[in-house]
Amino acid sequence: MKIKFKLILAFMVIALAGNAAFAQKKDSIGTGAVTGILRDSVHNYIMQSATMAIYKVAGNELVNYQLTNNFGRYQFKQVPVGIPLRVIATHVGYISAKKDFIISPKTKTIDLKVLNIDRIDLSLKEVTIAAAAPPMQMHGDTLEFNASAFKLDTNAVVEDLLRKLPGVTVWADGVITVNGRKISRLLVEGKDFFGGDNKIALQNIPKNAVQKIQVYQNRDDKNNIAPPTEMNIVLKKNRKDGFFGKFGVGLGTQKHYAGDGMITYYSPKTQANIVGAYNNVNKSANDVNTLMGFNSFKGEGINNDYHSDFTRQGQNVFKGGGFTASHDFSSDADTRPAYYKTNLLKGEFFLNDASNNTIADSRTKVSLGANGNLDQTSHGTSVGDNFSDRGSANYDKRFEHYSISSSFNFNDSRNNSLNTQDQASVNDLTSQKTHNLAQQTASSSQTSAKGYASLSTNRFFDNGKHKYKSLNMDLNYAFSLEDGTRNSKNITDFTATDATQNKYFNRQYLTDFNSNTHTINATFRDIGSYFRKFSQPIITMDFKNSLDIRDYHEDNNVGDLAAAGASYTPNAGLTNISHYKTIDEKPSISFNKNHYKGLDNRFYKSWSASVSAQGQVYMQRNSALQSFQNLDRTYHYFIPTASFSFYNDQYGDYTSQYSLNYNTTVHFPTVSQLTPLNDNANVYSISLGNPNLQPAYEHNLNFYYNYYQQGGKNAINGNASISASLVKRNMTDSTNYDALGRYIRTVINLGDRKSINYNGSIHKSYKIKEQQFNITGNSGLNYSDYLTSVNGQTYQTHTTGVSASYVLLYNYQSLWSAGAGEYFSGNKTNQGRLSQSTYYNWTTNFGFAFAFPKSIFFNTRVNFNNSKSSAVANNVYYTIWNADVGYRFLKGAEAEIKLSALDILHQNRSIYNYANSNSITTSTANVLQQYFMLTLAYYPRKFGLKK
Amino acid sequence: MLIITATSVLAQKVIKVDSSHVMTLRVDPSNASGGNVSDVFAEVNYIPLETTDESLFGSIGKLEVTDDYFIILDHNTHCILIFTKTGKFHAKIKSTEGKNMIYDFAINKFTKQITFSRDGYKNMTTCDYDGKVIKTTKLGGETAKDEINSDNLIYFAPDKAIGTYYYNEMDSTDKYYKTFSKSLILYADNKHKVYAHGLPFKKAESKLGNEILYAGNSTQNITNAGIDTVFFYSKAYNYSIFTITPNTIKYAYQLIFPLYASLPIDFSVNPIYKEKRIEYIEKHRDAIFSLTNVFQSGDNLFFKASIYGTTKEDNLIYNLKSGNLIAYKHIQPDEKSFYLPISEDNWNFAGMLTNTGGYLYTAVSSLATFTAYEQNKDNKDVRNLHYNPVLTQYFKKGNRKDNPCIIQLKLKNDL
Repeated sequence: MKIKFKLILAFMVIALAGNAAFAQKKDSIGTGAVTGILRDSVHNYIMQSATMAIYKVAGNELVNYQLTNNFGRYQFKQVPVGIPLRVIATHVGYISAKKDFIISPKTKTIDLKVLNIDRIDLSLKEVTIAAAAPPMQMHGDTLEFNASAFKLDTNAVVEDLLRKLPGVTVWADGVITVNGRKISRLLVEGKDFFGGDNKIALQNIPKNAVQKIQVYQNRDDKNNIAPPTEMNIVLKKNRKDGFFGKFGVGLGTQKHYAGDGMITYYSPKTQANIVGAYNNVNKSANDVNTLMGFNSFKGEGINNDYHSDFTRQGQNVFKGGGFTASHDFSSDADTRPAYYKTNLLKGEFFLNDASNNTIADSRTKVSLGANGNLDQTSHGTSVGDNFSDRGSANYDKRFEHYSISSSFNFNDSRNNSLNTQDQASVNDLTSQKTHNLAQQTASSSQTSAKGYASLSTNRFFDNGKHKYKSLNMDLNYAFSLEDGTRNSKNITDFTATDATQNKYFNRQYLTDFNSNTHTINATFRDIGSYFRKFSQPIITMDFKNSLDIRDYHEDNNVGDLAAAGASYTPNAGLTNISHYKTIDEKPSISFNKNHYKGLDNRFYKSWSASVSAQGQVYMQRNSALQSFQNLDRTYHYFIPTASFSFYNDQYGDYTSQYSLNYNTTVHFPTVSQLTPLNDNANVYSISLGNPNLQPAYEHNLNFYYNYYQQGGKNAINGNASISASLVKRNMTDSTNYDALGRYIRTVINLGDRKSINYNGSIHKSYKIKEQQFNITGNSGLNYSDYLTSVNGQTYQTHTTGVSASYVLLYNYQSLWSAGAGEYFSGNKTNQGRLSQSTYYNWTTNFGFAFAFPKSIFFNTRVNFNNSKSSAVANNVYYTIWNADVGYRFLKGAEAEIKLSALDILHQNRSIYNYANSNSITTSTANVLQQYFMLTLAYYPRKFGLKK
Repeated sequence: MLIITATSVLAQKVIKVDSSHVMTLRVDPSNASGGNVSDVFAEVNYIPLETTDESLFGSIGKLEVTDDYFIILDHNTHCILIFTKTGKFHAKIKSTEGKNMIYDFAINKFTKQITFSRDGYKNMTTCDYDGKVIKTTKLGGETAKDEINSDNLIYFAPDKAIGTYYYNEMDSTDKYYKTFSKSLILYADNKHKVYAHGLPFKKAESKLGNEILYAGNSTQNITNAGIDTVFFYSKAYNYSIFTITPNTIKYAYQLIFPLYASLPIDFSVNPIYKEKRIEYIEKHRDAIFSLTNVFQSGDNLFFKASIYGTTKEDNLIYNLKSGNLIAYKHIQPDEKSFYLPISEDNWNFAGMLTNTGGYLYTAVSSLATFTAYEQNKDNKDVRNLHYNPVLTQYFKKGNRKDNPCIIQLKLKNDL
């Protein structure tokens, strides 16, 4: 394994040393060239991988830097001529050496010949000789970038620093790559920083608090053939603790307002934060981390996240907040993380209250074949409020060969809503009309608790005792408890051309429910290892068992109020008490074969194959007051799985990975599909049970491919996956429409369902001096083919979905950025001769932003939307244009004033297309539209609490 | 039967260790110097090994040089490969599919034979230099009291070889106990019968066998000193070097390293390190834990002093006359080596592989030579370099995935 680390590292260094220099700053007079050799002349050898940095003597400004090559040589191009320059050589264990020079404007080149560097007396090994830290250096197997060597605005954050580093790319989604290799974890002082979302560390920690950035391969996972690359941010000694936060208020036109606040504290052991938001501009979050991301400081760059979500329906008011805290009990002072030293307790509490007021209209076309088409319109209003509070606690402790993990969380929620709906349907053949007016007042409350505990152990070789110890085992237990009520009052008023069909209901539903689920999973890997001493097994065998027991209890009290009645009369057909229990037991035995082949310095390939024989026993028992729902079924299935994967590392060239997986799943019919209670108040749709419904059996095949180029500054990486599935005895809808457009829906087993799915993405970045281009492309395709039944006729149905997008991003320093992107998604459904529907959405966007350090920033973004549905005649076009202009002030730019103009063109619309086998619906709703807002924000920040 | 065993036991000669002339060498790797290839070596020859589908292998785990051939063990393909002295592929001996691999081999230069086992030491196979099987000899097995079932033997006469044994805790009642079980050096005949042994280990060292960490590819604790009848043996964890001849064992050198680079003096015997030695080495990354691959060429002693961390000062040349110390990896390629590397900066690089006929032998991968070749093209100082015909051909026809290059080196005597 060690061999590989060194090799990968060697390539990393070659990529950095090579013949290229990474210019820090392009200078208008930067046309000179400098070469030379660095030697330890006392010991008579050249210095490889030493750092050479050129500074301007005046002002000490870093001009350029690189590592010496295998011959101890350095070669700089594009260095300013005619001014005093200084080259400083640094290497671990050596006293920095420097030499001043001027490049003659005539010759434009200078050969500095041999520069000598002297070793630090080893008795003073830990003493740092006062000198400017080199921008970049190799420290054993770690590549280090020293923050102080990079001159940035005083308010710059880590993200701004990373953009300056050679070979490092920070992608729009927060992913970091170093020479194309993805950074698997970003750590601060060897630990996750607030849950491991890269952006929180990148956009809040000031560059000035950072001592150095380390990049290295994590060797802890000795079994991993492709050891992950990690990045660790080492903070300066006096910046190991601190706090940062934000308080902001905004007032806007149309009675819009927004307020947020956050305060975050970190120290080597403890991380804690408290965060909150209150607004009516569609800025909401479901957890503390998302809210934290919204409140990031960012640095000299561009603040264009955290905008209103213009796609949300209705008017929304969001109030939310919470806190997180974590404490690390390990006593490891090493800033480089040791995987097995984890001893971490984390807690989170989050509370939110979201209210929504939506007015929606929809239009649906239903094809009934010989019975004509239905044209349905619906107008609805809904007012709702959701309140929830939840909390969680996690504890993880890892030892070198064992780990335990546990978590507990609870959730409490209450919802209230008032909905009205006015529906009309016309049959174009019979001209029969129906009309329904429905009103629902509903409230629900629910509490749930979940817990999880697991123990993992590894069999390992004890070098001292010279034997294998322990078991390869994972054990885990999880439970989930739920308890709640759902109450509603529904008024339904149905009228039709045929007045005999008119119906009126005033019905009350009172439901209490509770459930508990217990899951126990056990895995014993490589059973044979207990019986053999040293030889490698040809085939290894694993045992797994998964047991899941679920109990669900529901108590329904349904009553009807007659037109002139005073109290609700119990509805005998719908009032019910039911007790539903399932036991899902899945034992399996799997056989695994691993094979690898390597040629030193050439390649490393490994194959692994696994076949698993898995059985499933599924027991379903329902006992209900409505005795026709009673059910006691036991199913036995054989659900095998198989997988194959191939890994190919061609040293210094590329790495690719292929995998092929096959698995089988059984979909069991539910009580609501087998024997539902039929509520006649659902006037348009009646569900009829099918007690003969059989489980559907699904075969799934998935292929995955991943590629990345090693080395090179502008590496490419990409991946693709294709999956195919075949569902035998597919459960599909059988619908029977009457002339009034009402339908009876039954789930039946009908033929096979075949589907295929493809997804692919490709990333490439170019870094040219201070400019960076990122290109990301994504594409997707899905196709399915199945049978449906409408009015007793069977139709072959095909659904095709296509999606494609690309995003182009350009950054210059951290000051200018521009982006363009295009997203397309489309869907086509074809139901035999009966119906055909299509829709697509196409969005093109452009964005542009710039910022002057410490002062003004500006950004703007335009989205052109084009939507087409076969349910409506014309394309719908609308454009959303947003812009912000802001000013940061105070010494540390802690204060911000910002004017935002949103949906400047006043065109935002909500369009939602939905198609199923024989109908297509297009709906529109009220949405957030044009507003202007003035925001004031203050970012309290202090890094290093103890002076 | 008993009588026969008894006689054979009695017949085993015990060779006493002569400790009367121990030379102490003080070596500070951090103060080793470098230099150019032409400063250190009188001769440097690159011998690219022919690459064909049949001859493709990983790296050289063991190299023996005979009058006509290079005989190579590759741990990637588990084969013994035979190349001519010009690097042309000659023959290959494969492991048996599905059986135990070939882990080692011995050559008998006197009879021109290669001996190895590919069935877990049940049988020893003897081949000629063309890879043709001459005979298969069944060994007495692990319980044969006076037999060594190893192929790590070095022949110093047509029917006599020297071998090593490992630290162990066996006592005479143990099923696998052998008459020479408490000695580290043994002398055997060509039927693997041990006729003499020496260099006993202490009881406190008996557990070391399970606690020795090997320093990468081609680690050899017994090596040919350059003369057919003199060998070097280095003891684990105490920096002592012995010279072994057909009739003597001499405690020849004791190396002393600076404190930062040393294991505790009692590391191999103090029970506080019991079962913790490998962990200790992993934590003390600057401590030299293994002293191997000892060769002598004239007045120069070449050895590999490995540490767990990263260093360029592991392969060292110590001049016994001047006391000068040179770090092999610091020697800078120059025109003499066509600006091609003579070492590699990765764990795979074995250091010196063997010492025969006045030459030291090492090897570098084609990845290293081709990388240097590309760099040379871009380097204006060496752009007009004229490679010799062998290398010209190699760079013209080959690529970075070719077999390694053997490097034949002749050290200058006055360093």
